[in-house]
Amino acid sequence: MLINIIFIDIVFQNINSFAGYSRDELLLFNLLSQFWAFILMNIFLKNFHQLSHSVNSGELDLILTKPIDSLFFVCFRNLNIINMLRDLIPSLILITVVIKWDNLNVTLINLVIGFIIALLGIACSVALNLLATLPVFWLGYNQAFMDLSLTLEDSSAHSNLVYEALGDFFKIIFTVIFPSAISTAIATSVILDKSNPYIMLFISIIVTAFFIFLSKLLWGKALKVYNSASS
Amino acid sequence: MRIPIYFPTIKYHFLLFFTYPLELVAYILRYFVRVIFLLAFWSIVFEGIENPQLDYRNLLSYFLLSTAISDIVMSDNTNLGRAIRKSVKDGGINSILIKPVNVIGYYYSSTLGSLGVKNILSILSILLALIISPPSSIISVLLFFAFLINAFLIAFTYNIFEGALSLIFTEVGGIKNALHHITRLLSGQTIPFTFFPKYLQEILLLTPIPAMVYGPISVLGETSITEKVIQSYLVGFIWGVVLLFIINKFWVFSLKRFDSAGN
Repeated sequence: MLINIIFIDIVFQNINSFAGYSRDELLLFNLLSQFWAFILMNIFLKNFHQLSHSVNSGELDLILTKPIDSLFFVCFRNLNIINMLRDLIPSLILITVVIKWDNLNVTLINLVIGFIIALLGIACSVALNLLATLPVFWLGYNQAFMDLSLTLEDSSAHSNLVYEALGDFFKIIFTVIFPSAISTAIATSVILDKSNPYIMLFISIIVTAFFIFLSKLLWGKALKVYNSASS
Repeated sequence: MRIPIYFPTIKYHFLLFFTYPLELVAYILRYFVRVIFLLAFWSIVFEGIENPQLDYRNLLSYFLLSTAISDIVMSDNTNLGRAIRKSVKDGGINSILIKPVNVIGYYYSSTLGSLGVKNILSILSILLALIISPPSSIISVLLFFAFLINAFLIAFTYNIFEGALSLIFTEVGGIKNALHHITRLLSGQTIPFTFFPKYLQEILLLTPIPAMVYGPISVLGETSITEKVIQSYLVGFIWGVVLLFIINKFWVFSLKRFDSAGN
């Protein structure tokens, strides 16, 4: 996190604003980006990597026989909240301290809606990464798909590329088609009153609902083609 | 050390990649995604600068080169260090230790093989960068390769450091991540070196970090071998040799303390 702050400070020694964002606004963007990254990487990606291994080793059989929703189980199989908080909290505190909040135009309603959008975006992101994991059921491999999905998600809407920096075409792509912008870029834009909060909340709910539905649908189809490898 | 042993290892790991054609496509796409979005970010930054020291062509060339160099010398993802670290974790290193091969040589060959496609893409990126922003003279091209050797030496020791640490510590992921982020920023890989404040540039140029990426890029604009170029080369070379010596000792030290957990 410290490196990110140094990065932004170096950039802002050379410019006054980035796509209409000040230093503190970009730091707020980074705060949400860190939140997304920690949740996704510490909970879900570890479990999705384990899912890939389970499919090829046949260990998935054991999961399918458990009296629990299999998708829920594979998503939350390893959940080490203490470790996650240990890593997450210092980073968030550091960036929160560094931001000069007086320089930001934040209202309570935008903050609440922005935070809800951030959570919806994380759910969307989990669905996207699950979709990138599922090819393992058909092909037996998926590593490059998972890497591609994560790189695209990270590069398009989390590595300091704010929502206003995307052109109209890419705004549609990264909001609806490959919704990587919701969790950080759109949430920040809403908190800073750069986008209409109600319209963005509505779009985020629809898109997230669709991607969760799609991932559940494809999970069901994937299970149908699953051949146990354990016997 | 019998060199011919390592060629089949490179070939095997290179061909292994082609077993999964769709993975290959995804891998290539990922490479371009990385570069395109990095460029998108910096082109927006450049719109906000009144008198940029680089024009857009130079910027494009800079990031093509920085991405390619960091991939070739493995300073970005420390693939060699990671291969050793993973092998220590899953016990795979035990089967290599009992074989009559040089452990580092073996892991370097296998990593080189599995990065074959990435290296091809990186070489193409370098060629593209040189077409977009041609080097000042033939001397600058020769200097580029000389500086690339320094970059390789330093990045190699950096990788071995990660691998050697994993032999004595159970978990080195945190240290690796910290070093990785510092290197990406300070080597000039994600931010053009000219963006740093002057005093910081001067301090950093005395360390081995910029020699891994910025060093080779910086000499492409040189038309002759100046005192500054020689000084910059010597700093990188001395760091490379010194680190190689230290890391060799550290590797031997770590290997002696390695407590195998495999079967």
